[in-house]
Amino acid sequence: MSIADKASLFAKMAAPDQRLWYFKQGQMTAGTIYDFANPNMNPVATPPTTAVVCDNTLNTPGLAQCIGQTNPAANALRLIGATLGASLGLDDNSLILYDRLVHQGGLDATSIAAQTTNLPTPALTRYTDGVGVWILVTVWTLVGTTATTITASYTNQAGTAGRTTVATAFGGTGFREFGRGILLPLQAGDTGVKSVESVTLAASTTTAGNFGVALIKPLMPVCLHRFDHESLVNMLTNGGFAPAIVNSASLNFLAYSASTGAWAVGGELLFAED
Amino acid sequence: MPISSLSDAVLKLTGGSNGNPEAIWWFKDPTSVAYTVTLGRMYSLWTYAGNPCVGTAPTASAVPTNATDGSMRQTNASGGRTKYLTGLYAMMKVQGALILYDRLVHQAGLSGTTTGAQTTNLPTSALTRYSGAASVGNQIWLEIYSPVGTTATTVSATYTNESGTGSKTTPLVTFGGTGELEQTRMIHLPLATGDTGVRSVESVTLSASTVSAAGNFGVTIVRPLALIANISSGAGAVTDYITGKPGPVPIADNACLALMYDPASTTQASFFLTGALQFVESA
Repeated sequence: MSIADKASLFAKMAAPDQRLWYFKQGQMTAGTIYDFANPNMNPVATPPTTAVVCDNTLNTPGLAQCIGQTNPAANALRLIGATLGASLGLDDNSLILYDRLVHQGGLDATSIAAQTTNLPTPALTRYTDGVGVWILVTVWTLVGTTATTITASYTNQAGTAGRTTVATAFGGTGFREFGRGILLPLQAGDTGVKSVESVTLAASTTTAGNFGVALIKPLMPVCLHRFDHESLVNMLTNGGFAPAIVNSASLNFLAYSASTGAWAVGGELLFAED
Repeated sequence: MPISSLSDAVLKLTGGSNGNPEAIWWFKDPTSVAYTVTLGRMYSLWTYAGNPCVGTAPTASAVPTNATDGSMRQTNASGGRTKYLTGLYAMMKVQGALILYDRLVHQAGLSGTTTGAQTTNLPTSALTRYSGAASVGNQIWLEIYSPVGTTATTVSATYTNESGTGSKTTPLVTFGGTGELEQTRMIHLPLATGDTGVRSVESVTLSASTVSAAGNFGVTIVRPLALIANISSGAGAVTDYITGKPGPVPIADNACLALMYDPASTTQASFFLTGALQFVESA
């Protein structure tokens, strides 16, 4: 799918094939990544009880709601613009639109053995080569106050199993709150992930909580400058980021803020079909 | 002609006329490398863990490419076309500046306590990108892979300039001591009067020992490509090369794209860094 020229783009912007509204609200800690698939105030998410492939129907209230675009017949959808705004503290915020490929829950933040509950993750159905796929740990319900580190055993983009992520912080303030998303760095030599087989904590965080693993594909950045000001994004002023949206993509956002407090993010996304 | 018009950009960025648009996303884990930050200094992200994966200190002089661990792993342009950077996005908690560069050649194994001219793993390997007369604009940086000593001294390098003239010497700059010793520090070596580029580095000389630690540092010849000058705290920033200035940035085949940054905070653990690069191909 392509858009022929500037006039065609402007026509699509004025009358997009799909125009979807989005709204999430919750509570954030400054300097940390949040996974909007788990809105931590409204609605309160129910952790997945199995490992599942996420798609564009993942929108039942109480679950990890996605944006819910419609699949075009030609499997040719593209995000060409967005208008988004945030209300959080007095600082700026940033959003990353991503496709949530698979996820699971039910992991225990007090267990120090390799955990395999609801793992391995199911085979990818989108971005199946795994290149550029990130491992995201989602904290579904609050884990403990004792800081430790977390690693995952995964299969890399080449299909090599038994790979191990670099240990990264987990538990304790800023790394325990429900809604937190923690990205796991890959082992040297790797550029992506096909599946996760197990997760291991170096020590107990002292509260079991509930957390899980998702595999995601980041798609488009949205910089939200200024408190209570909307951000207008289109591909010609946003560095050319105009991601193709594959059929059944489970679209959601990672969010980052320099402020601590209640937040609300809302706006619309504009899609063009071929 | 690279990209002829906004309409041409729209067509190619949406996959038409062999634009082959490619977005590369990256993140770096600030907790993977521990060091003390000094404001107003440049730091390398080469050895930060993340995705794509971490780079390592070289054990010999080498020409890294887009297949080297630590690089952004973009694909080469196809069909005789050129790859262009159209957008650069980065986000971190604190304000700062980020430079995207092509890592042309690198080496390590130099000591912070040796005072003679050091030639371990030198001269640097012959350039394969921005070589010969195209070396105008290449820069010499020192990269610290493990901390050197706490006694400040000065450092210089002998190099071959853009015209192929050898035995040129960089002016002395401070090396060692607080702010100039830490792991991941990148220290720029200015060129001798009259020079505008570099083809190779033959030796590095410290005026005195940094005393407390030999550490491990090396020479990296870089080609700066793009800059995000003011990453807003929290919001990040996008440098747009379509409607913004300058225009799309050509990316050489096999370019080893890497990042260095200048944070506006000394709280290193808060520097969660993520970003993306948007590319398109054109004749």
